[in-house]
Amino acid sequence: MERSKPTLLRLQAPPRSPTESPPQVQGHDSARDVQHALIKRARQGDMQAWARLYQDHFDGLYRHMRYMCRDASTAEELVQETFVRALSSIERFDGRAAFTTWLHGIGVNVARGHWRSTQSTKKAHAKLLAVRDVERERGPAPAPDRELLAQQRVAQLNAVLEELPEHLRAAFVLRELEGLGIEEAAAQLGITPNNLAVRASRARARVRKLLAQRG
Amino acid sequence: MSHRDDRTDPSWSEAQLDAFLGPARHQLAADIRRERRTLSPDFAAMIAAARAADLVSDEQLDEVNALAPVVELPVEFDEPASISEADLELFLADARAHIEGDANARRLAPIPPAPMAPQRQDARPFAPSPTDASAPASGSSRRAWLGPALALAAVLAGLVVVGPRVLDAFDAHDASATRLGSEAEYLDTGRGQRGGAHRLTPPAPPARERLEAVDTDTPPVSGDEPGPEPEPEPEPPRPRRGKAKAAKAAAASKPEPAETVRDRVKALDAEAQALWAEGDLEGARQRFRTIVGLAGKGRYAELAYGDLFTLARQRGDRQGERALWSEYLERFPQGRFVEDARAGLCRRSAKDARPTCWRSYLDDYPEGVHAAAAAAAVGDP
Repeated sequence: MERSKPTLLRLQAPPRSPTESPPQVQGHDSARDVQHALIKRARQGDMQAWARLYQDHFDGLYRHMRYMCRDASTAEELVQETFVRALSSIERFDGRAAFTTWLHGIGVNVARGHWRSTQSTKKAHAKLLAVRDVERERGPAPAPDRELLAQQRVAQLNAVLEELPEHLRAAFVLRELEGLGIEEAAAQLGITPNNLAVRASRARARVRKLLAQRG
Repeated sequence: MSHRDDRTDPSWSEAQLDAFLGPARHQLAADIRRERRTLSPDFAAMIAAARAADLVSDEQLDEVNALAPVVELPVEFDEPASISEADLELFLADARAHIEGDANARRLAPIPPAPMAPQRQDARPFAPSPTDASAPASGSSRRAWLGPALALAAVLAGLVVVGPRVLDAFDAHDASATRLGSEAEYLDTGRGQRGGAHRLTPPAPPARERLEAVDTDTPPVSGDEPGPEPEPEPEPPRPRRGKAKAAKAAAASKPEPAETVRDRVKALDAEAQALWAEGDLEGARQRFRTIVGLAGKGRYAELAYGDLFTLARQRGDRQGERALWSEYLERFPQGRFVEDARAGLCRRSAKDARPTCWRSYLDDYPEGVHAAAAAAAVGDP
């Protein structure tokens, strides 16, 4: 039997009502209009529209979630969870922000929930110590492999991030790792740009201190 | 705040942090790219989870499970600092459009009259050719050597009979050059001034260039007669420098084509979706076909193929579906729909060819989405 892997995701649009005019699309507005049409249909429970939205946004959302958690499988789960939440709350999407921003904002909340469920300061310390121990055991390699070094840095960074308060961690990840602009990051977190800037700055300071503590 | 913290606790400097973050960020991006290859996005699983949470109905779940064909999502990831795949596609579309625009501009480049007229006149007495016999007044040139009187008569006859055509031809040539020249000027200056006031008269090219132009690009012209009436296509030769300059000027001052192709593809996609929604399957098909033609091997073209597959299925066009799969495989041998296209072709192949087809599929995709079907078809356990 064939494995079930149903991810087609181009649309078979359902018949449109005769009174509903097709979107008049021109130039740069076309993508936005297609998106609006999809969201409208998604709101009506059109699964094909959801399939298209899923296809269009999976990659970006995965990357987004991956920056917020340590491993691929967790990120994948969080992506699915984010889409489920989006499906349940699409009615609340008012179109003021871009759909991507809205979706990624849900992703941040999902990630925060994940952090809460898995993280405790004690755990984070333990991980931090474990990373330190691993590095001590390895000792200062005479010519450390660049990738290994980079992986150690990522591990170190993840350990440090897990010690940050959620709101600072999210700000740090969006700004410093994903490289989002202040406006976009603020929109995803549902805060003002000023607030975001403050959080990002505090997060950096905290990370610097934590890294220094690690020696 | 952080400054106070800095004074009381040991802390890395901002520069140290940046030096640390750079490689870590880079490594993370590389990890993500690598991981993406093994991901298997599963829309149905997500909907099933939504169903478990009672967010969708059984009917909606059935609808999702009925979606076909089964398609792997693309493995495309970028670092945060790089442009997205979609932007790359647009960039490539722009590049294609620029090239097309450049080609158009070359067709629009002014035709300099200067090199042509003297060359024709010079060439006539000394370069008779067998093709002259077909020229309208070629006989007069042959008779010219018989005697001054005959020659004179022939020349006079030639002037009377052919002269107006010669003048017309050169007038037409000049008019064309003027029109195109003013077009180039219009594009160049943006002022939109047209008409004969501005006639491009580039300096005469070097003799070699003129000779090359006549030898290679013009129909053979000899004797006293002009060649056939100048045809609008193909155009007469133009000096390279003038052509390149005009093309560059036109391309530089006319960014519309770059926008046009990109926007056109997007607009076509929107139109196709709208037509599809209205039930106009043929209209939608035509739009997707146009996208396939416009977007080359880009993402839009590939997605349009995905739509064309579904449309063909909706229309019950089994023959068309097969043709599309083959066409797609030729254009996108590593594309995202390859497994499905190959599986589809195997299913539709003749009964005796089917096992070979599936075996080939299995060889290429031992863990493929359709591996189980393939194994069953070839009789493997």
